[in-house]
Amino acid sequence: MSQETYLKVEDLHVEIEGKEILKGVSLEVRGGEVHALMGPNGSGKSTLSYALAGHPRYEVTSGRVYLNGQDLLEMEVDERARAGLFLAFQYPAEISGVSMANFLRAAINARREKGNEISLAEFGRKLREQMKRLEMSEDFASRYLNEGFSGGEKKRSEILQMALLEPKIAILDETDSGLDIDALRIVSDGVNALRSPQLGVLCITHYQRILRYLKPDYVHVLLDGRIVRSGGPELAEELEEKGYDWIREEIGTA
Amino acid sequence: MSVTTGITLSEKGVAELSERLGEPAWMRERRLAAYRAYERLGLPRWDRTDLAGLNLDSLTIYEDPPAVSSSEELPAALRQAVTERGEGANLFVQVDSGASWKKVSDALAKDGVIVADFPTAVREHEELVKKYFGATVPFDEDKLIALHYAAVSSGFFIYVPKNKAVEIPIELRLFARREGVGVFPHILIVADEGAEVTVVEGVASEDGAKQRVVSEVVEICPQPGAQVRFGAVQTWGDGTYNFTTRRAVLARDAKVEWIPGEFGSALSRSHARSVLSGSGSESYSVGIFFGSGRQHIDMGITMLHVGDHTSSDMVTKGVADDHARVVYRGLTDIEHGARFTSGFQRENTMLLSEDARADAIPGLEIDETEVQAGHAATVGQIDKVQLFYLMSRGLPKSEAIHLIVSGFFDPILQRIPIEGVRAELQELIDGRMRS
Repeated sequence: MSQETYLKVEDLHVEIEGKEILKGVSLEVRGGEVHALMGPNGSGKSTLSYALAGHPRYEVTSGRVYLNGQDLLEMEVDERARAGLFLAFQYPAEISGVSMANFLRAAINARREKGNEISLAEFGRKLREQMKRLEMSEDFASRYLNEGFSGGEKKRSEILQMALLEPKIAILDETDSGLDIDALRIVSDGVNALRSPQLGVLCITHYQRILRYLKPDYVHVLLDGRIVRSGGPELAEELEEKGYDWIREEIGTA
Repeated sequence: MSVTTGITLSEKGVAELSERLGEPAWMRERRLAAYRAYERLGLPRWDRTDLAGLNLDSLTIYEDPPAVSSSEELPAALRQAVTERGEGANLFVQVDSGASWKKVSDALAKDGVIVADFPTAVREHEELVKKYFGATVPFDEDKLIALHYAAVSSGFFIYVPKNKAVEIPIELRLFARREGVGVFPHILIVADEGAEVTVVEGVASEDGAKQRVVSEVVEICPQPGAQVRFGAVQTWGDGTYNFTTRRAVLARDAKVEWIPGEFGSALSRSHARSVLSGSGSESYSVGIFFGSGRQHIDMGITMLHVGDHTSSDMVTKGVADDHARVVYRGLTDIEHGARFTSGFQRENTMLLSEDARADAIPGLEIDETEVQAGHAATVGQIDKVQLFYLMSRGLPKSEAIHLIVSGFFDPILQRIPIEGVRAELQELIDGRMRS
């Protein structure tokens, strides 16, 4: 069943506590593509990722989102995930008492029918393989979910989940924040290793740094809740050079 | 055989019970004194736990127990435990207060360890029983304890000789099937100097439509240097009103560990107390409770420090779901003279529903200066951030909550030193979460 992945965001308006943050965002991400969404702080980047994931505090006031033709906004948080949406959080939650291994196995099995759960042997094999790729020592598997993890370890834990859950659309929410160069390389390599025609990636970032490793096909600029400019990878470099104020001026004069 | 005639609670009934059990005179006298105290005393008044629903009128305190000739005749719930236990297990079963079935390892008999059902012990180990029975929990402490001492008809007496370490846990299973008949077990454990023993008690019942009254007393008497671990898995049925008093008075360098798991009953009030009399004595408690439906679970632990250089630590975790009400009472009481005491307690309750209620009452009373003590108690709900995170990975809400609750209990389950108990409690938690 290798239908090509296709995420369509149509004129999305999102409010939080009565204040409108996204003022009509439209975006299309296809399998095999990496899209970067850049913008200054407060532009609404995280709002987009939380709204797509279905966070209860973010209210979608109008607009549509389709994932492979399915109406995403009609689905519950867990249904969206099982439909193929994955969000790598900027600040992943810590859950004491739940081991990484138990959690990962439960998440994998949530996508499988009853009676067709992943065998312990297969799970162990896949887990070790992916942990090795991400340069995570094996004892992470028995540690409590994200508890006491450093920033870099948390981000790698997100990518580990992504690798094991095989999503169709992965939203990386400022995955580069707080990472040193080595961690950045490992995380980017991890995402790059998962690139396929079935996976569409939306990389949300403030800085251009990660885009040197995770080369985007398209770059969009989010400013004050709207996508004001789209282009190829060279747009990211222009932003790096000239800053967000340059875009503001350009929009102002247009 | 004869028709089973039930005995109703009264002075005459208590005397008849004594006769049916073939008891010596001193035991009969104790029962009658206890009955008089029962009549004299009013029901205990506990804040937050209301006994309005308790019915003691025309209480059936005893019926001749059924004859059980093979493990096939045991209740389904027990048959599995019985068939699973292999060689070397120590398993003693009482159904409807009768000594129904047992499996004893060779080592137990060889080491001179006594495990006898209580009525038999009263007759056959008179000297020991008479010395220790009722010495730790006085018969007239309250009305429900007095009821116990008047009506006691089941339970066990365990004696471990000097310096004997019993390797395999002694497992006691009590099950009640007969509707409306009260259960009054006494567990008396005497560990002689330097002895070591682990006792695990599992209590359960099928209550049907009628209320069942359970009044249980556990007395642990560790002599100098003795170590006793007592695990209790309580899963009484929906109609049970359970009152359990567990107590230990520790001699010099003795150690007692309580591992209570309270899951059952319509209303359960259980309280464990360790009196750290002897210098250097230690007591620990690792406990769990889970209230659902309309259950009321009141669980208490007290560590009373009297001697010098004593330590205690209590860790308790519990959940309240649906319309359940749970009460935790933990008291670290350090008397004057209990120098160099170390006494700590921690408790966490998690509420899973809007209508569940929890009270956590940790207490610290210190009347001595050279001590280390601390206490902490929390009542909280499922963390919404954690819930969102797990659901965003594809876990349905109920499964995400199940995982968070498992995580909540995991650190405390890891601390339970008895493998079998840990597994049983894990299974009970999972069972509650699935329903």
